Amino acid sequence: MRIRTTKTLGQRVDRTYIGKLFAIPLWRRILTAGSLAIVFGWLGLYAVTRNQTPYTAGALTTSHAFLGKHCADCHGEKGGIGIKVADKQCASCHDAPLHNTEQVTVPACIQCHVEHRGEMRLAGATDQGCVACHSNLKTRSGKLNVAAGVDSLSDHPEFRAVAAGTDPVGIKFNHAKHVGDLSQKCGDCHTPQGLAAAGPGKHVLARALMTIPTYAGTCMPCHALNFDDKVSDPAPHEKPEVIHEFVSAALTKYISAHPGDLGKDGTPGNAVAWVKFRVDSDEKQLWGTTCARCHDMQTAGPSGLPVVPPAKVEARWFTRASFDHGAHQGLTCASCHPKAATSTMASDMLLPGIATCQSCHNASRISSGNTCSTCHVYHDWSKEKGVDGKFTIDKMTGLAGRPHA
Amino acid sequence: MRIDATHKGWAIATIGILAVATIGYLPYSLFYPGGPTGNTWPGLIYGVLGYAMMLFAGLLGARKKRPLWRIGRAKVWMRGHLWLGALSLPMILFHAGFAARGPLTFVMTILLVVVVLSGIVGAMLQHYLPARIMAEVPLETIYEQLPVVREQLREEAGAIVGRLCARPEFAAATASTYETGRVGVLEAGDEETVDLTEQERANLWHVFTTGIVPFLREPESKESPLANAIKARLYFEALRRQCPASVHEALNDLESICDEERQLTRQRRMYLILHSWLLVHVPLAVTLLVLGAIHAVVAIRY
Repeated sequence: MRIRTTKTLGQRVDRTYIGKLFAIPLWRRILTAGSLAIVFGWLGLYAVTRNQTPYTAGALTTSHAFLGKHCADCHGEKGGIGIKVADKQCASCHDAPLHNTEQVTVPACIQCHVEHRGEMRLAGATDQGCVACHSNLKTRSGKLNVAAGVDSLSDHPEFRAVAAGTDPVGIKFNHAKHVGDLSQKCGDCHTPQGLAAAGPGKHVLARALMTIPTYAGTCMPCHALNFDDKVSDPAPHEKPEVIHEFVSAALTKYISAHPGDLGKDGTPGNAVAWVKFRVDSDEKQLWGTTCARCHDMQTAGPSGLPVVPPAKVEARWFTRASFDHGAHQGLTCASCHPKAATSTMASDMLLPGIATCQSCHNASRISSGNTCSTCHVYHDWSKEKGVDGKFTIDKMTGLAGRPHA
Repeated sequence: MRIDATHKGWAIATIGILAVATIGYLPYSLFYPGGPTGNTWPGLIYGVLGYAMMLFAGLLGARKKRPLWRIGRAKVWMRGHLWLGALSLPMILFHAGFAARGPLTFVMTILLVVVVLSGIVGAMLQHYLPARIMAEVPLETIYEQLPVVREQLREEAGAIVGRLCARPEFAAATASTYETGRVGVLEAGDEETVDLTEQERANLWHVFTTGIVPFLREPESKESPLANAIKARLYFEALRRQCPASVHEALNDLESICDEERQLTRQRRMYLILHSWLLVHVPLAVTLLVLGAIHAVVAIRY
């Protein structure tokens, strides 16, 4: 009979087994060495080509993609715990003017422009950076000309122009008559044109702004400045002095060609007197009716001609923000400008208020497009000066040594 | 290692640390300008804590190689490895802001997840399997000694049958084996040759060489009826019916040897299940620690 005791079971063990490497521990070591060899091989291949891509904290935006192989291009040569990309590194390629000379603190570039997040828009800063100051705004001088307690779009104050209540345009215009009685469409006079309408300034979207309706381009087809049945050409849309010269010259030219009209219908028989007679009559019609239809003709000046206050048609109401009509072309005009159809005076404020914007741009209805940067830009681009580039094509594409700030 | 009530302190501490880390992470992720990343101060703190936990977990391997060093009890090291190793995953995820955007960090995140998951699988196996092995393999031996023990079982079987069949070359092994004391084989008096006819010896030898020896040579082959406990019992019952009662004791010993072989087969399979996860866990954990160190150096550098 087999005898099975702990002692006999223990005695059958080969005591020299300790120190020998058996299958599982052996394979554990082999696999560990293999795993390390793979990662060192991987990193080594990049190291040989001086490519630091594996160590990147994430893909760079397309515009910075060429910098991805060399960390020091942005991060500098001296590192350390808590050391961030310095503003001067950004400034070597970008001129980004200060937000406002009154601002108390100036955030570092990287606070808003977060890199290594792939293809997201680099300038699409979050609200956190804005709210950090604007929720309790302080200025160097202590004076404020913008709202002080804005935490989100729902706190946004009314637009300055809308709050003023009237449009200081300085002309007369009856939207109701044109849109209602004459069945004109908004697009007959207003088209998104963007930069051309914006005038000086940069960083305005291509179709952001509406064109300024001009007399020549918009009104003249229906409202030609005809002044005399003897002259077919209308008067130019110019200052009264220019119009006066034009009318006088046109009638002088006419009577020279038609001397038989002298003395007819009670007119003077002398050419000079005839011209003066007709000019006085025509200008009375022009100043009193034709021009006065749109302009507030003021008392005659020293020359005896009336003074016409200049029209102040705003091309860009939002001087601190951007608005893109093109991006909103899917909406009817009346959706945002409902008063236009009933407005009888050009001084009526037809600009929609912030509430109209908030009806779509709020967190509950549109998941995106309700941040500060949807409408506002941080930098005051009017002060942009530009930079002198530092890269050559070879350096930029990594074929040659790279500059370091 | 069983995960039982004695782990309560570690479990509470782990949940507490995780709760504090999570409470700290929420405002950090919501309000920190630019969002949570590894290079912010809170992110760095999470990263350092996470890597320290990984490092402690990794040092268990070194601790095992120095069992005599007075640097804490092995049980504490094992529990620390288990709980802090698991806790390192959320800490590193907090560190990275639940993102892995770079190639190296992506690889490290995958490694960390695989290491922690394989560790959890290993902990579960270590919790359940040892008890099963103890119940199902009472004759368990040292895994690395399986080939040696199996060789001894073959010798022992050969000695028993050699004595019954009057084969001195096999019977000699009996004395040799007995004298070494490696195996308890026979009781005193059993050394005498059993009285069997030539035909019975021939039959028994045939059964031994065609049925038992092939099984003992390849105990893990399922082709032999002896690989199955029920079939083996029927096999030996039939054998006993064909042999005189005087050899039944020896046949019982042969049956016992076959049963021990099956237990060793079961032990080997359970052992492989119990330890094969380490083939994933350990290499990837070592690689992760090395890559973590590289990542830390490069991140501090830039």
